[in-house]
Amino acid sequence: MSSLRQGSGPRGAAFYGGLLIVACIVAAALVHADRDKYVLNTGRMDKWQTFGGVWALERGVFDNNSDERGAKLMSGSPDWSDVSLSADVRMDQEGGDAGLMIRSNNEDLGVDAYNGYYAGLRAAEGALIAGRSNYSWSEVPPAAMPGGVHKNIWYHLQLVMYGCRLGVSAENLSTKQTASLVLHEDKCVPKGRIGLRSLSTGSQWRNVAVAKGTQAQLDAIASHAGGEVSPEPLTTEAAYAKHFFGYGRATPAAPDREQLPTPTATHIGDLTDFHGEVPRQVLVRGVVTLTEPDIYIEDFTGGAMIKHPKGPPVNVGEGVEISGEAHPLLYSVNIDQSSLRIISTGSPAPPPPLSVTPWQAASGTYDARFIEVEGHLTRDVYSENGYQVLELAGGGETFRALFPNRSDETLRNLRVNSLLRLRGVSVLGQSYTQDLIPFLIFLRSPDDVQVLQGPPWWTPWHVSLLGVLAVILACSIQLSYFRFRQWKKDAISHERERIAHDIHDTMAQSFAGIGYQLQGLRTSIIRNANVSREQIVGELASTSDLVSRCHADASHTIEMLSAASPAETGDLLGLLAEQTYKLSGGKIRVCKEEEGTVRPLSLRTRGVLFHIGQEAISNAITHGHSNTITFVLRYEARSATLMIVDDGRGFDVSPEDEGFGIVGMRRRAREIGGTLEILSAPGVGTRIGVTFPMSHLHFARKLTLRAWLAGWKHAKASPEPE
Amino acid sequence: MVFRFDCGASLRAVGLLSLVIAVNGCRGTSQPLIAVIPPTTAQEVWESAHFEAVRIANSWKWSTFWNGPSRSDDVLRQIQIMDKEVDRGVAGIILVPDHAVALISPVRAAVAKKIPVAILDNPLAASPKEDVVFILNDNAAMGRIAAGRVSHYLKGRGNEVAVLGVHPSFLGTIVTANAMKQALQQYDPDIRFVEQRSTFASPEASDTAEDLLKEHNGLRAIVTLNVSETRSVLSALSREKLVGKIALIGCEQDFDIIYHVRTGEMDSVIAKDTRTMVRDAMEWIHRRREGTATGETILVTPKLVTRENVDSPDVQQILAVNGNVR
Repeated sequence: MSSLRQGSGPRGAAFYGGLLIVACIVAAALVHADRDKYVLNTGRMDKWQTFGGVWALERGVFDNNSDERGAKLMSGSPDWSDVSLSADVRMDQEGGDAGLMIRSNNEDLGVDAYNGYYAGLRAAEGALIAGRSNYSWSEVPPAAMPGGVHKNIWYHLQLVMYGCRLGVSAENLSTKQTASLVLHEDKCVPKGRIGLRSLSTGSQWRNVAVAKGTQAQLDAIASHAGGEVSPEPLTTEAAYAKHFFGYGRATPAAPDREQLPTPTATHIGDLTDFHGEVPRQVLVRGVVTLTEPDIYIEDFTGGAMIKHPKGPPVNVGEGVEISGEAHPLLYSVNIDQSSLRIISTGSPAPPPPLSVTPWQAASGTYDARFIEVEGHLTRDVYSENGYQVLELAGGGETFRALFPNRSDETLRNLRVNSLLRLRGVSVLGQSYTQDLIPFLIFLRSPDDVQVLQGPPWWTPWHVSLLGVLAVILACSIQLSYFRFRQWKKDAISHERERIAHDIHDTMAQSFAGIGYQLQGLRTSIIRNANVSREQIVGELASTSDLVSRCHADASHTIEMLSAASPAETGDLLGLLAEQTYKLSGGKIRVCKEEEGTVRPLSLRTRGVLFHIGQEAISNAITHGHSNTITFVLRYEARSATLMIVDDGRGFDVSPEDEGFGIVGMRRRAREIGGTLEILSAPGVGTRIGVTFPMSHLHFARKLTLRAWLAGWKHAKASPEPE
Repeated sequence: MVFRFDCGASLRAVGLLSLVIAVNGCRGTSQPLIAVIPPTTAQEVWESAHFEAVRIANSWKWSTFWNGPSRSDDVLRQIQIMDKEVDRGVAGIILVPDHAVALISPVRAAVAKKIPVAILDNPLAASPKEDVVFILNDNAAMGRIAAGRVSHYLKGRGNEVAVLGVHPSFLGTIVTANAMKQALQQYDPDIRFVEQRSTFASPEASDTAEDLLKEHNGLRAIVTLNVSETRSVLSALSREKLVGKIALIGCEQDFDIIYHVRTGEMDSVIAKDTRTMVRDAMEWIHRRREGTATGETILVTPKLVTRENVDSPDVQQILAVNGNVR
């Protein structure tokens, strides 16, 4: 405790350093506590990060409505190490795979663009798979899933990562059939986030839960697995052929497409009003670009809306064949009473969008097409008729973008006047636009909105705020200027007062004495003509002495006024010693001493102490006839004392009899928050002590290298006793 | 016993620790980083290039970055990846461009930052410069090899041969098609060519293939210039029950495509030697950094894969991801 109290100098810096260490330890503990907190937010989409896909969250069910290869949805702490992750998974297609990621890092858009582990169900092989990706996929031999892996069936997946072992189990929630496998690596990814991932199929995940993984959980899975294997990449074509198909078996890659009659399809672009007579019953093929609120497809000639199709649910990116009744529109076509069949799954994401200007989108050329367009957000995002609505303007056009009003709040964070790039299906038609806008865009996910540029800083609010700040600043500067002038005026006034006191104490009194002497001499001569010559000479000699003293006082005052500012020079005690030498003509011996830990004094304090010292020296020479003056500067923990001790004649200390000099010294001491103490008696000399507080220096200043080194040297020089 | 907490020493320790951390942080990595950007990922034809780049980089104590779009026509995504790597200031870039024109600007941006760029497989619509090398599949040779295989199936005069997958974004496809036509016309001046552009959307590719089969009864052979087209034609042939009746020659490999050569559903595949391309690219970048290489065009000969030679070591070596036939 004592060491802390004494450490207000360099030790104070050490104290704060200690506090810093404690703060670091507390911060580390908090981070550690957060790392061990296994919590997932499955109620808000904005707590998850998407990498591709078309994701939505509805009542705790995550849905990737896209066939994009390697679409990922990430969440959790990057510091999670031993983790148990479970979820129910359902696939939309009899192809591709879907599953869970664990200990994942460095994710990016791309099929294998992450560093971590993935395990899931692969439909084509009817198997449970697991492997490691570091931007390149390696996997362990798949475990056959009894009964295969089928679309629209919920499977429960559990991944337990403990140490460098990953246990994976899957259960068909309809048939209760299970499969398990265990992966291990000698050098494994130590920690990372968790995620959901699908490849070439849309999928859903529900009951996503995470907890701390344990050895017991892993062992339970391992007891049902057929051993532990390290993941290996499939490196040779021959191995691939043997692994997946075996020689001589039926062709694997002719897709499991239904063997139906295939009449020639019509190009969608040929079905608009502009192309003359349009067949009523049509067959078209295209890629799904939107599934909500309606299904939109497009081929390379145009886009179409598919109304109430009979057939399986579809995902964005799937190839479909539609047969139905065509209702040509001005720029696109609606196909009603249609039947739909999926003719290709597992194809990559929908074709890249056509990048158009708002004007081009408004022209109708891109009606029902998947486009990319830029515009400024003109007002805050709001909800209307079950959609989040973005109102935009660009290129002289105003338009809207609509996104289903789900629990995802990401779009609500967009700021007015931001420049946005949007991807979605462009739609014209009064039923959507209500003749208020030329076109609107249906967004598929919040990822379809990219902020190119935030709002400019010079919004009216910001300009007003800046103006107010400028006024406040100007007022502050003006106030500071007035305060400075007043301070300067006060300082001059105080100095004049002090000089007046000095002159009054010295020269004025001397001149008064001279006057009295001369007046007495004159009166004597006038009243008494017999004044002897000796008497007159004696009186004049006495007057001459007074004039000499007066001259000496004047010299002292000039000397003091012309003394160099103590602020400009270094050692305070040295200055006082030099001043003593000058005033006494070298006749007085000077001693000086510093006690305690030397610390810097402020300029103001140095100035005050110097002037008090000057006064004390002057008194010691003029009145005390001293032979020796001693200056002592003693530093305490929170204060310091300057003592000026002389061996002169001394005097009776009486507050009533204090002259201007002593009063001036007391006033100066009060200026720095200090007190002045005078101890004296006839024949024993005088001791004047000025005790003043040391200012609390700023923490940052105490941490300066200089203070640090001073503390280092001081600690080495004077080790603290036990 | 009196516990003494030496605050000064603790503070000095913290200071020293901070200094060490700062110094380590500032050091960063000194390993040259090579970005390899394929047309798409998770395809064996380019995974072998990935494996080779990593192998060479490890032997030089360099490092690699690998990522590409999830489909071969996502040009925008490839440009984004390219821009990101240029901004990062990598030591070199190996790019398999998805578009002959659109990638010119990102490559120029790399060159402006003195980053050597190796263009693989298909050229850009520009000439190689000091900081840019073209290491291309020998597309003319590929066309001649395809013509050689097609010639086996020509019967009499007036045969029809289809070429699917020609696309102006991939200049090499035009070279291949022209070389094949030129070679085949030496066999039969009256031969008719049916040429269709490539599309990467499965339904459209499938449509194109089906329309082709229905409209051209005299087709003797189909040459496909990328794996997407090959899969679509295989699917169409299967549906039209024409497998084995029309010869199919593919011009790019993936493991599942080669399998159809094994089963006889395809005549052959002309495999690109992507491993050699990336090896040449790595070595060129190394020499360029040393100032001993300049822009040039290097052609890498493709390899014909048939049912007869598919298991031969030299073919398996080209097909294997890690170059190891075992």
